[in-house]
Amino acid sequence: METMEPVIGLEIHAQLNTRTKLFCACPTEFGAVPNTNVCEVCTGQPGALPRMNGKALELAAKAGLALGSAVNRESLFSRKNYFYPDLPNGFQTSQLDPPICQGGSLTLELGDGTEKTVRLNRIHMEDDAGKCLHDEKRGLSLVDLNRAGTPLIEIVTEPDLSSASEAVNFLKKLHALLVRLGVTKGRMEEGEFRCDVNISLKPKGSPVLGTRAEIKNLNSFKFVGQAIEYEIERQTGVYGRGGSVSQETLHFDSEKGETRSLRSKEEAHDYRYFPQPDLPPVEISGELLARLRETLPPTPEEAKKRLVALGLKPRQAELLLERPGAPEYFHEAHKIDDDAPRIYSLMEELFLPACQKEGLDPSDSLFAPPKLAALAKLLRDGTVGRRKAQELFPDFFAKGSDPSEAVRSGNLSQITDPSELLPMVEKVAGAFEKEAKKFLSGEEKILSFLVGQVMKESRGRACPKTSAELMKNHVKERFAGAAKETV
Amino acid sequence: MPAIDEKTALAIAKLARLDLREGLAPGTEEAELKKLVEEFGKIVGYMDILGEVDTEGVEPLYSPMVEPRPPREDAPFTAAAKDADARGAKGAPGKPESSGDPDASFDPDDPDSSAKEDRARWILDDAPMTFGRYFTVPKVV
Ligand SMILES: [Zn+2]
Repeated sequence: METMEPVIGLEIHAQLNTRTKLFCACPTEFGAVPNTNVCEVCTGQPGALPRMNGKALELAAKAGLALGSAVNRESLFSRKNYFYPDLPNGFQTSQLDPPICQGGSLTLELGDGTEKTVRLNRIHMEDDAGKCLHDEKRGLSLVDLNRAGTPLIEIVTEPDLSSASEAVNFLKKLHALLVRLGVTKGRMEEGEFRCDVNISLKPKGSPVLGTRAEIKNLNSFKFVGQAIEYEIERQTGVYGRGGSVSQETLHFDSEKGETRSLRSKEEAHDYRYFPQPDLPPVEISGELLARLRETLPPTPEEAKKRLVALGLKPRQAELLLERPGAPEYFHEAHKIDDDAPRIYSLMEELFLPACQKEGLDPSDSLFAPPKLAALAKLLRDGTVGRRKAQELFPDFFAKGSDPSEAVRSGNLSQITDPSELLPMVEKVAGAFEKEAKKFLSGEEKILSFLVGQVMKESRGRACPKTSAELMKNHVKERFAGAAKETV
Repeated sequence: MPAIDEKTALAIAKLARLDLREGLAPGTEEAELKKLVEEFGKIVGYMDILGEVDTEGVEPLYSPMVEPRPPREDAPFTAAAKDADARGAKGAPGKPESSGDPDASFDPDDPDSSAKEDRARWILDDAPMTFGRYFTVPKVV
């Protein structure tokens, strides 16, 4: 027998990260009491009119932009007609032609170091169905319409994948991208990201595709891998016995680890698509597209290049990019003070460790980027030394103080250097000799009075702890003899 | 020539989950079915008149709506928002978000939440068959 190779295409459904449904204002929360998030529109009441959710449109377009698709300035919703109890309208509102996005691709790194570009056919918007529970005992199906009308995008790939591991890689990369973009929350266990697999075998090198089977509704990366492995083996067996694979829809039984036929081609649906007359064509303006394009995060490669161009070493850029929120914080601070290496080192040595200790995302810290930029300037000017900055940072970080403000009000330049403090200590000890001697004779409380005088002398800048130490030693040295005399 | 033959009529009936033979007296089925197919054909034939219009060079019209209908804001239903929507107001006062955390589940003390619950209740009460908070239908699988 000739060697056969698998040809795999995917259809991915991702629930869009909106607060409300696609055509009504019902919440999209997961796990609510059955049939609480329902209204006239999403239960298909006569006369109810759908109205498009603008956020869903933006998220669908954003996914397309990030995947290099062409976003259609005008697309159309159609009715996809079929009957099932979880579909109250008797049709799914989906997009046939034209969909919101066409084309696009995602490139995978393969294990052997090469790359593979997987082409996308299209991305379209549609609403989700409700959920059915089947009550065997009573012979009833129970219908919960909370999910009915939830916005989805369906991403359809070309049949460019050729193994289970490639398909899983592709899905993982797509999932990570869509979650990073905020297009979907992507919680697979809640069905927010699920996948249908089209799979056929063809003789190696042949341009002619074999008959394909479709495995429906896989909701974990593991099941996708297992279902594809199983199906490749099954189809190989069928051809090996001289049989032919029939075009059918399969269900993957994850407990048994095998696929089972749901329906054959003869029973295939005839959806009779036609334009949904209750919805005007979907328009998306050039301004909105431009705005969405700006919100796209750069790819890791682009982000690194950008940081290096600003003056960071490649390794520093990588370290920064490894921490969520850090690159954004860096760029914000850099906008105010363009001393990139200094901003980086302040972040690396002081800011990021402090965030990590508190379990804070950099963007949530009270010590906002302009404050770090101000500290960088004070360091460069020499207004504040490195050690001083380290010493004061925990306080700045905790309170979110502005370091330049602290300098202006004098708080910043706390004097800890003994050589600077000693002259003041000597002066105070001389001026308050009586009090100093009282201290020596055992009246310890009076030390705080003496330190207070040093504070006054330094206009509040003296470090109290260091001053107290210096005062103790100085008073002993200076008056010890005299004190003995008086005893 | 009839636009619809018996096979097509039966296929469409099946897609619509209709049993064309149901309730007919034995022996009358064939005649009834023939009548239905004829009527069906007449309706489709009538619609075919539209095919006589020369639409060469005319842009397809997908929606009869002349007024643009801008997309909604992604804000959950509240009584205030619904009133505003009914008045046709855009970005009306009583911002939908103002009514507390929209992600919170049903709270009987929250007036907006109870409006939502009322609506869900009406819809459930209107259904031919329910069980607890579920709509029910004869078992489908
Ligand atoms: Zn609704």
